Amino acid sequence: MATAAPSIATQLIQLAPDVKESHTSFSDSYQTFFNAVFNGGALDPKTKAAVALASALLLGREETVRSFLATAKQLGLGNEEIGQVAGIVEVLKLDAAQRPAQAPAAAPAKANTCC
Amino acid sequence: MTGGGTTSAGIVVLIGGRAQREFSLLHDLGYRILYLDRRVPFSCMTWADLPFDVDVDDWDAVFELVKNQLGGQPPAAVLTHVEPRIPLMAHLAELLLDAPRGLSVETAWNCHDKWLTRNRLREHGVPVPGFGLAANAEDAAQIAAEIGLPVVVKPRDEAGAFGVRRCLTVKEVREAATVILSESGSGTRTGVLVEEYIDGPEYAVQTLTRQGRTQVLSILRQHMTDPPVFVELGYEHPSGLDQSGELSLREITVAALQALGVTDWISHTQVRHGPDGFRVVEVNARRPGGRLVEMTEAISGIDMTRAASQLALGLPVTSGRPKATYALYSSIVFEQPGAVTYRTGIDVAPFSGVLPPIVELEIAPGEPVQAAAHPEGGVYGRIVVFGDSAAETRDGVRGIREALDLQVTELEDLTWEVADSREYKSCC
Repeated sequence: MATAAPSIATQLIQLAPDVKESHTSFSDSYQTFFNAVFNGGALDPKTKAAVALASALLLGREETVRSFLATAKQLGLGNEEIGQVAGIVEVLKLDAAQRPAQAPAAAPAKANTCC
Repeated sequence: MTGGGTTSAGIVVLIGGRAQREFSLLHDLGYRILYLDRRVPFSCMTWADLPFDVDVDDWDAVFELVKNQLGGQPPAAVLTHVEPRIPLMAHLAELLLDAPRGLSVETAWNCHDKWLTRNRLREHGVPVPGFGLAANAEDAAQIAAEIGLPVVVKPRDEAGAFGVRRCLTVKEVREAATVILSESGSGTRTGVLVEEYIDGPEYAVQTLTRQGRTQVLSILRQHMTDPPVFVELGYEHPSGLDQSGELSLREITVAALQALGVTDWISHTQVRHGPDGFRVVEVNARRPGGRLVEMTEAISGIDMTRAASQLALGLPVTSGRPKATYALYSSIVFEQPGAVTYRTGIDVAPFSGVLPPIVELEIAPGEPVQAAAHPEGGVYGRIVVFGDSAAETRDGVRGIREALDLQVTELEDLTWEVADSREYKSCC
């Protein structure tokens, strides 16, 4: 099967030799990291697919969602399970919208009664 | 539940298609769906059990993917309802199934490749328009001169009316052929078909063939836009043909299917009636587009989508009873470009007698539309009304159109949304 064409940015990076070298090295490292994450055995494949789908939904990137949705179904995640994953994401998004993140209040400084 | 399970024996390989019913029918029959498309749309992700993006023009890659997913075991069936994937369906079925079912590869190509279709039909004495295959614009011009103008220029194996044009002059023939040869559509076989223009009414004949015996399900009078382009404006049943005309049309259609080798499949065949009688224009080995499946089911009791699924699975074809003696289908098209407005939430039930009407609009109020003849225009929806008389169906369509109050407001700067999710454009 034909591989995907490199992105425009990747093609332009080839114009700068130093940048190209770093980019290649970074891409290789990223691929190693990706494989370690998705091939790791701590989570079973369905759970990994559910977490990845939830993260993609949270990022709101349509193509990433589509890709992980396909993977999730291929790994046996049913529509009801997918619906529940989407529900959890939506709850967290709504919660974040209603209760903006706040740093925990600093403990009041105690009066220095000592010397 | 007749099939089912999670083994490959309970899995149907479905290629392409965007209609939920194509999926739900297979689920209702108890099967899981391994769905393949170049880019699986979001909607199909949830309808399919195993959705896969794959280059559907790379047949070896598709075969390897299916074989690996099914662990080398045969699927319950291989199926498609979309024209461009019919040869691939037949190819996979031949490679993967234990026993041949549905269409053979040879028959699939006989139907899908318009040049092959005409050759096979002519060899068997089935009337077709005069035709020739051109490799370039000059060839096309020469063939047109030999056939005699006007002619129709069309791609060899595209679906629907993509690129089809009636040409009155040799200059128009050259231009139409150049456009087809330069644009990459879904076709894979090269060449431009140049054929005699048959000036006369067109008919769509829907059939079901089992063990070589063909049952005609519906004969519909088909209404098109005026040439040069061909957009389907609507259909009516009964066709308006007299008894001998209808008998002759049935005989020609049956002969065409026999000549092409269709023994266990459905078809949607288009035939024109010109000064010299009927001429077979297209034989589509699939269900018709738009809502012609529903119209045919109302008339015949046979659901062609279900029938194709059952034939692919080797199951008996089930049928219900006919529910309508008259049906009228009216495509929603526009004469001018602009922004469309219409009333929403109208109650359409009173406008159809024996069955609820079908009213579909694929554009929201305020969205831009193009004229029917424009390449980006075509059909934006449809109204189908059922009844017991021609007057009843005509009144029903008119009443629904009045209730919708479709209007187009001219826009000075018509900008196009890139997303066009319509399943049918040139078709109904």
